[in-house]
Amino acid sequence: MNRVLLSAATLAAVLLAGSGSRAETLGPVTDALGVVKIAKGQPILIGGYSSQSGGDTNQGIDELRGAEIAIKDAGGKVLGFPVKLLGEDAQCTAEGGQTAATKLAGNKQIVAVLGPSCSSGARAGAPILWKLGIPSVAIGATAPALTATDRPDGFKGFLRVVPNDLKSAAFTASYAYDKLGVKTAATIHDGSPYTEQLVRAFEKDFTAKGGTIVASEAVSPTDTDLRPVLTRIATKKPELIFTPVFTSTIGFLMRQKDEVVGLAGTKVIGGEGVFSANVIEAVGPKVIGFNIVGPSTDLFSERFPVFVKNFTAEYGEAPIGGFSAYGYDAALLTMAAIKEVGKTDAEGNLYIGRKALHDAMMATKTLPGLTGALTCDVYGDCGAATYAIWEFTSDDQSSFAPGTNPKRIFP
Amino acid sequence: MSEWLRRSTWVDHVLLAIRISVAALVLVGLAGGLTAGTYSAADFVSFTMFGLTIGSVYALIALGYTMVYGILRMINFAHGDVMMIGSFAGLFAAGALNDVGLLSALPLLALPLVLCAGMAGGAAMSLIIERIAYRPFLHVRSLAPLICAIGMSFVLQYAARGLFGTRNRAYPGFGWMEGTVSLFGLIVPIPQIVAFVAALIVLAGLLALVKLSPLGKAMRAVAEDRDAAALVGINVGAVIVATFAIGGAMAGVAGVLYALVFKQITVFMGFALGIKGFAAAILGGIGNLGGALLGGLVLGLAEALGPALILEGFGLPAPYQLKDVIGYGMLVMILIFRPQGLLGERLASKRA
Repeated sequence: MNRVLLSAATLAAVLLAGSGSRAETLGPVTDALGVVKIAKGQPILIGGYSSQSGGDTNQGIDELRGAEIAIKDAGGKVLGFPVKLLGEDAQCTAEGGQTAATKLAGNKQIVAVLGPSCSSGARAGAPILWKLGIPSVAIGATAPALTATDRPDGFKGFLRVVPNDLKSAAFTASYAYDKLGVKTAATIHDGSPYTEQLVRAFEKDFTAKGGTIVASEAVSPTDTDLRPVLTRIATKKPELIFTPVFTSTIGFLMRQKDEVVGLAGTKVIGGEGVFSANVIEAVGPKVIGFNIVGPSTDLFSERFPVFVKNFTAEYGEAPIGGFSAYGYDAALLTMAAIKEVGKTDAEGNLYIGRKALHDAMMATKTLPGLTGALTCDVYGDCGAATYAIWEFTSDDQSSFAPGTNPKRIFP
Repeated sequence: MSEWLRRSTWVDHVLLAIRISVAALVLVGLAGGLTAGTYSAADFVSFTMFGLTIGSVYALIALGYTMVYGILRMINFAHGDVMMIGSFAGLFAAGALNDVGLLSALPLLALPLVLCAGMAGGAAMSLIIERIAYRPFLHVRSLAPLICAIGMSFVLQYAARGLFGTRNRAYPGFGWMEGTVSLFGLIVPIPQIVAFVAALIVLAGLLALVKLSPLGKAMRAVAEDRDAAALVGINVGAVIVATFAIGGAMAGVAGVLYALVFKQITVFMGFALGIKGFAAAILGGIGNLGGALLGGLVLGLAEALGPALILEGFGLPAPYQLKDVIGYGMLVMILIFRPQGLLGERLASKRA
């Protein structure tokens, strides 16, 4: 009996050890997490997963387009090998992120993945990829927990070029309290990790400044009738409502807000998830004067206008918000790291060590990206962009153009 | 009492215990909610108004489920997506009317036109589905039609996604119908009143059709016994087609009225609303037209009032996240204690 137990334990130990280290030597490269061999003439595969569909956020199409432009700007090649981006739809849900990540993880030739657009997708998807040693560079996933000091091991391979929400929360709280002089605020989130963690961070910062959070409410992303929630908030008489919820919810909220007694004059600040032309249609005439906190695209690097021109020439429409620029930077960061660690053998085959690639990505320093100089900290936060408060000036959907509609009102 | 104790089994005791605990939960919640004083009486009246509005939309959707079930004994799971198609048909009509300025100038003329477009769109789509996906299963007794209906739902969603895109689409403004009106000191949005009244008119028309017209008589006959109806010379195929057309038209009306109240529509809206309509049909007693109406209104009211009245009483933070828990929790309770629904499945006893 003892012997059976012993052998079972040994077997388990061997299996565990096997799954823990995948050290591999291929050609000139030895890597603790495995090596990807790209035969001469074959493309380097980079995966991408973003929100290509879904009523709320289809910004992901723009994000991967931005990444394509980055690849094009690099001449389509890294170390003489063509780079190919394989896009998947992660929607803006945990299920979508899981499906897309699983699909990408099935392709052993993929060296790194760009995306996703949403924190819920990253929470499900990033660990799936990292389990196979594939690092991912998020384009739109901003939830603080993803790069928190106590994040689970599955997120060790997760980086992002979009700023952590802690940054946006601190900025918004400071705008509300210091600039507007608002003392009482209410928040609404929709249960997604992005919105919930952002409002929590905002509440913390706003309270720390001396303000009071009078109501902390939640809706679900499919809710259409927000009057009861708004009525509940109205009874607490906040001067400001901060709600980073997505397009359709903002549409319902702004349209119904004025029907609730006591809220007609209350200011609403939305999040960067609605930094797009869609929100103008969703909200209708009430969009005029609506404020959102979003990346200050006009403070991006001086290469941004050139990028917008290239993007428009390539796809026939201007990029929405700053998401495409994050897509660009995610691809840029990944390609720079591949360039650093890729090694060729005598026959001209390329070898990329997975751990080496991840380490090189994490070690990114002052890489001149579109949104600023990218520098990653040890937790994978590489975002360089700064924030601004934007105000919509027209309810004509075709007039969407960051700079004029919405226009930057702070700083 | 002793007789009941002797005859009852442990199942009865458990059910009784559930009844008592649910009643206690609701009562405690109600007491807490009313004494918390978060909302004024005016707020509750306004929630009720809103519950009736959304409830009438649910009722219109529920009718489609219930009519098809009554005749074919089949749940048409694509019905919610038929509503979405109707809503988009209405959107395009509204867009065209808006371009010529009719929408904001004469909303009372424009709304019926938009409704007609929605009805036509819904009815046409419903007929196409019936022809392609359901008619081949007419004499098949299996789960195949149900699975086919679910598949049809996805076909419609993603076909619409390809055609219309995934972004949210907003209905243009209906002139003065966008405003609010003061009723007995309460400010009520006009779209709510218009939607409620329009739903009632359409429902009354449908009931009249089913109760008074020869077609309605034929529909009732087919629902009661398809073979016997065929034997007495009723064209069963034609009745089924008519049922689908009427159900689709009702869904189209629901889609337009929904958009009138909420303004935004997406190609994926049909799924959630379809489930709500289905729940309303079950709640009222599937196969029963009056039941669908009642079920829709009860579900709408439960959703609108439940969080404020009951959850608030337990001091839950952010009670509105749990709105659907109230609605569907009620459905579960109804299914446990009154499986035939509030009004009972029509003719259930006779058929047995």
